[in-house]
Amino acid sequence: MKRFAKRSAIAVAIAAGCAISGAQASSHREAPTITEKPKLDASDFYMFRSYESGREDYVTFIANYLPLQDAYGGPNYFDMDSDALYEIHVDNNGDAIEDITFQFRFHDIAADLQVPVNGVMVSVPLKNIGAIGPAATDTDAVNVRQEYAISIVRGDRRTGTSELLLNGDVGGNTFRKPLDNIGNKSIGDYATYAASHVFNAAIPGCDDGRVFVGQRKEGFAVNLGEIFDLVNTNPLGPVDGEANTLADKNVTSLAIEVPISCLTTGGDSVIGAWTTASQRQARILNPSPTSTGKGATVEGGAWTQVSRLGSPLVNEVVIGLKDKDRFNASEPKDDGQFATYVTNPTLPELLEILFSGTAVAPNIFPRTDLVSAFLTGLTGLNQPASVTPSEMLRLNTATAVAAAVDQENLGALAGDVAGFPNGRRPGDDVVDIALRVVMGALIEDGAVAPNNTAPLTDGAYVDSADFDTAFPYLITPLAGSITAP
Amino acid sequence: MKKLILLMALVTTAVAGCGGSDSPDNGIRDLTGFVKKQVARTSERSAPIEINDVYFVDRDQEDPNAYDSVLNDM
Repeated sequence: MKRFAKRSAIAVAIAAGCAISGAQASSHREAPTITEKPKLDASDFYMFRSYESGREDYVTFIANYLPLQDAYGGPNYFDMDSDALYEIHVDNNGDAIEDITFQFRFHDIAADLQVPVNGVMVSVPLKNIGAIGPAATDTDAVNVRQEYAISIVRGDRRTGTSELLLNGDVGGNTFRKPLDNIGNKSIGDYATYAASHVFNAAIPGCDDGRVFVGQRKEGFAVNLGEIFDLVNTNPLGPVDGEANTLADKNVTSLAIEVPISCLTTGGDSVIGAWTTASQRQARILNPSPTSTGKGATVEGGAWTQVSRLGSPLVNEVVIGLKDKDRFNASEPKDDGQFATYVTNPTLPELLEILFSGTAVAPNIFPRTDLVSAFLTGLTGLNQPASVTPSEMLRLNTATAVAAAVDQENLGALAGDVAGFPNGRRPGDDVVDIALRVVMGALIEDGAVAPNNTAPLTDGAYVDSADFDTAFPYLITPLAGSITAP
Repeated sequence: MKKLILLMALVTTAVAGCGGSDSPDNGIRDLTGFVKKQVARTSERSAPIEINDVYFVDRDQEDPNAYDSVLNDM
């Protein structure tokens, strides 16, 4: 196997596509404008048939936002934006238009905890002034926390029929979000405390599902430090030979588990999905914010989409820099405008330029293999019966579930058809898969795709063993502070 | 005479349209008024306004009180 030069063209190509934005998760800070809106930045989106024992008739969606959280990030830590609208869209008939949308709205609950200081009650500056948990309601010492509501919208995301999900455990239409993992003096047993925020959810018109929204340990693994250090890595090296740059980071996950019967329609077992975040179109800064009146901003106007994520790495390394903001504001039904980026991808060409004589870009255009991978799904695997080419993650809900111990982290490339690109599980190594696919792994003819069997890798390893085997699968976040008892 | 009156009415309308600071017909919008209007039409169901073909005139760059009516509205 020919060895790539030290200056990995793959890594350079990724860096070329992402250097300006400093992107680090599968789609993080990948567009100029989203770098200004961390709370609205979708970093990863997972969709898979639940592989928790007994839950095979469900699909788990996990939309990660607000990436690159340092566990010690107090005093405010990482709340979601209470002025934003977070959505997970599902297309169940292949027409590139959402049929079902799950909308998440957050609201802040401020207790304004005060302590007596020389006879005067004074508001404290911290998020908590005592121990929290383990129950979700053990929040007497919490100064500010969040709750959220979830709506299911059938039809158009704005004009369709909207109904609120019901909290199946405590009643009402709101769900508690756990505080971030401040540290073990504030939250002695964070795993138990967070688990108390997994709720049964009554979904109107469907059987019950489950929800969890809260901080998790970042599950995406990628070797970016060396990539940005003049590509100081070997893309043909060991698949676990490099450090995971994100190993010390947390992220916030919006996780919802929904019965398959609630999602599919018309006998087609394939669904497509993507996540978006939106802000109000107008914002006015308040030069005199008050705690009892208007805050720092006044928002108004229609919801305007600013973030979009379906399959991993698309806006990172496929869409040109000049169109990344446009992609984030766009909908799958209009993806014809981006077709050239898929049919004529730049990443393989950059590889060939940088590694002349070694790396050879597939010489077959249009790249219909990438159209299948990114825009329609693969025939016989996850392509809807009738499909409008459009970028989204697609899952065949009839594909048998692979238990965690049986999962291959290269997914369908390794014969594990329950893995990416047939949906995406946390343990699927999408970086290695994407590298191999863009260099022709789906093209049988080695004459037009000489690198179609090259074991390309970024060296940062991930597999199902890194995660839990039950909802919400992503594991307990790193603590901001750990002290010995 | 009728033709003259009609012509004058048309000219008056045209002049009023050209001079309008928030006229949708000539693509020129007063930014402050536009923003206030968006806040006023906050909705869960409406679509955002396309602005690529709109030329905004911001006459309030030096006026810190331009949005007081929104900020003070309780």
